[in-house]
Amino acid sequence: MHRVVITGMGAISPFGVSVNTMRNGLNGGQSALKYDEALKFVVGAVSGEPVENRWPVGKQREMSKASMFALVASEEALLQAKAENLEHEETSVNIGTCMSDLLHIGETAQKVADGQTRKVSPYFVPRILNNLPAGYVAMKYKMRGGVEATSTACATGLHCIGNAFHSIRHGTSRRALAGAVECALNPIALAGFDRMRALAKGTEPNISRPFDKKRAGFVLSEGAGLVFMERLEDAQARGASILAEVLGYGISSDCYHISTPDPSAIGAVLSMRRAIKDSKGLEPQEISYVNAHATSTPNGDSVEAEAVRQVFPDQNIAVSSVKGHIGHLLGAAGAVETIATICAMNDNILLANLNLEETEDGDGMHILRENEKWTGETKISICNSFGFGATNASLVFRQF
Amino acid sequence: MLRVAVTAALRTVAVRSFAQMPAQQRVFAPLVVSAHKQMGQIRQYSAKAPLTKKTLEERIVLVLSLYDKIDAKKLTLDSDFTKDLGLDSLDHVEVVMAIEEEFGFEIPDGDADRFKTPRDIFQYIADKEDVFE
Repeated sequence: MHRVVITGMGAISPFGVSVNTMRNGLNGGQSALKYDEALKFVVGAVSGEPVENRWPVGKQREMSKASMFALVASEEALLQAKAENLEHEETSVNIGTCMSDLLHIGETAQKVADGQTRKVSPYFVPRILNNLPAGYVAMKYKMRGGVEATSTACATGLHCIGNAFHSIRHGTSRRALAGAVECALNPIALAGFDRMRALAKGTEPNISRPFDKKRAGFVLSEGAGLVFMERLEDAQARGASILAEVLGYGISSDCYHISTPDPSAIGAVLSMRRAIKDSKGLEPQEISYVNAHATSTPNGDSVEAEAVRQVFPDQNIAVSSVKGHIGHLLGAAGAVETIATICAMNDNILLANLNLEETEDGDGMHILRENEKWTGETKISICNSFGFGATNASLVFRQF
Repeated sequence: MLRVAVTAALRTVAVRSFAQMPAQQRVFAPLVVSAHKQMGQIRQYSAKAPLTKKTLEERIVLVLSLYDKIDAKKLTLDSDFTKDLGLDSLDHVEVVMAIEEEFGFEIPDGDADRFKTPRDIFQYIADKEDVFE
């Protein structure tokens, strides 16, 4: 058993490329969401120079945008961890994604339907495989500890980080680069989620409003979040600065419905309780903040609130979701929110739920309306993600 | 995409070579076809232009030099796609796609797999299209 710490983080969010652009946006209480005239939805597109432009045209044909996001975020994480030139023989990679390159699948399907199979790109298959972002990263840094891409819809990011955390804790791998990427801002994904009645409608960015009474769906966003994890003793021996310790990881399944959470909140309750139990010796009372999955959908947010009420009774625990600021990054949500949570712990800030005016979910807990100073000596938080297919994950972090 | 780059360059090249062609060959110039297609114009389904060894070689070299993963400076008829030009097996498929597009016929995978150098492509098309001079 090894204690596991995070020593590097890389993020791409609607605020832009880098952890700090997101950190500043979140701390400043800003929204990174905008109405897109072409897509006809409010979305969280990554602002700034397109990441694809960093590659020559040939590589752009070869790699999905998700793979490029993974390479860019991994560069930032490894740079911060000062781990670019470490021996990576025993470093594993677990970078997942929820949706694959739907646009490319659509274009290819059209060619095949038109009888033009000879025009199908030889890069079609590598482009749409969900483990290729992880594969490109491992190849670049010669990380030979294994390449995985746990794919669990909107819980992907937490599952990837959690599984990688366990592999280091139990000695299967020495270090790991883990997280998730998502590049599904396209008309196909929007049409699909819209038909599920899952998306927020309107032209104002404030329609992403977790826990608010008037919430009516989520805002689709893109981005990536990756963390570099290693054994505590390794990090200390090489003098790396430690951003947080990963204490525990729990997962569960609802077994209720493919997209609606069990109203009893059993799924979220089990995953949070298991994550706490996995944080050897930790009591729920020691956790002071819940970074909620709360996507701004009517059902989901209420059921999560109910779960928090059951796991942290009479504790008035602070709860917020950053999806009001950055929208829902699907598979990458948990990974990016892990990074947001760790930044907030280190900045001593409890992040607000942006756009929250009135809530009906606040009984027995403190649903944050404004950023607040995070006091207390040992800051411990729990981060939740839940995905379609009734899959749930929770991770517990401690400020180091 | 390759085809965009190729056709953009071909628009000028093709017009020039078309003008220089002997009159009987000017009936139809395949080089212009892809440019026309790109510009959304009709494709001409008349017979192909007779090829000479010289024009065949020129067209192969042109297509390859416009392929963005090939360094045109390193390209000769005898460059090895893998060793000299650094292409992998998937790039090789793209190269064959570009050649198929340029010459307007399909090359079976078993035949394409034997292309190690541009000269192999040259020889293959010369045999297939009866190019003797």
